[in-house]
Amino acid sequence: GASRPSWMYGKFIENAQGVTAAVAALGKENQKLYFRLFDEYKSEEEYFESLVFVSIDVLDECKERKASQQDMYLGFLCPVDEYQVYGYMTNTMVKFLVIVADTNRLQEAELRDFFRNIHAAFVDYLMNPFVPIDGETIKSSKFDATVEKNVAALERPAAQKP
Amino acid sequence: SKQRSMSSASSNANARLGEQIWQKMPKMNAEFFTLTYGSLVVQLVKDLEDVQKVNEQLEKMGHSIGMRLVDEFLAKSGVTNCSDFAETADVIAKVAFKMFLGVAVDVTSWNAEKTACSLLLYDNPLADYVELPVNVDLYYSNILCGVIRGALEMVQLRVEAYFVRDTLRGDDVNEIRLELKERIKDEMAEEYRRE
Repeated sequence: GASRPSWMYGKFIENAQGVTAAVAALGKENQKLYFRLFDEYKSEEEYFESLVFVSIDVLDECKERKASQQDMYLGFLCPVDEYQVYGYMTNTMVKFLVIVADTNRLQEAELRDFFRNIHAAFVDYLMNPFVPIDGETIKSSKFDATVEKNVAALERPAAQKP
Repeated sequence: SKQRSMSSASSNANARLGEQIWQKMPKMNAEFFTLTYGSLVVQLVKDLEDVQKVNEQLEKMGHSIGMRLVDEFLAKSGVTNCSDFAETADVIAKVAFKMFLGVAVDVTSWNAEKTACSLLLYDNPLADYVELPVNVDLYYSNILCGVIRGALEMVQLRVEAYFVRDTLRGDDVNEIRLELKERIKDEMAEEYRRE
């Protein structure tokens, strides 16, 4: 992977409320279809974008293995500083990524549900006849709302936080 | 005293009839239907560029469909004569919309002369998954207005049907205003009677 300038290392966000920093969707050619930051993480847009780029290398490796793999859920892609990136790739080579703060709280079942719901929302989005298929960015209030709902579902209720 | 437009007993009978025929109608995949109509609208938008022309074209296409569909409707439903326009509206709402689109439609907002009313569609299968581009003055489901107009023309009623509320345009419900303009005199029938 490409080296990064030193100031990009270790962007730990103080007082971040949520576990989820960002959700991204990439097209067949890895073009950016969707990139959304949450809460306090919004202050470090460039940093999280760089994490997406780092993940693309890992995703390309997954593509090679795709033929033998039945599962669209790719799971844990790579750790970067205090963050973990999880991925999911459809048979049409559309990829979904979620960047979470390093935590043992998230279980595979939760992430599988998350990606399944995002995938379903994406399919619904494509069903809109006004949406061009050639990989433009996703502009849809319905899709945004579903992403928010699923990001919220990843957060534990406040009562259970230490 | 205010007369009710349609006795609830007759309206319920129409609703039951609509449900019965709907059960027997052959069905098709909902997504394929939605995508087919959607690709038609998008193609019209690309070809015609002027949104008002698209609205007109959708209505025209609907008109052609309605003229043909009414015979299918009459054959399958067994509905014969409607005694007044209120009954016509109820039959359209409870029988026709149910058997062809599988949706329940309410008739409301009658004017004093009983020549105009509103059809409320809570569910519109044509518009599933659709989000209109911003600032586009498109009546996406305008084909439905044409279908109503064409069908009623074949039973000697000249009407105007147009959307006043549309969920795709931000309203909470779909409302088609239906106005009876005139009963079309059958010229041939008059001549025949004279002879």
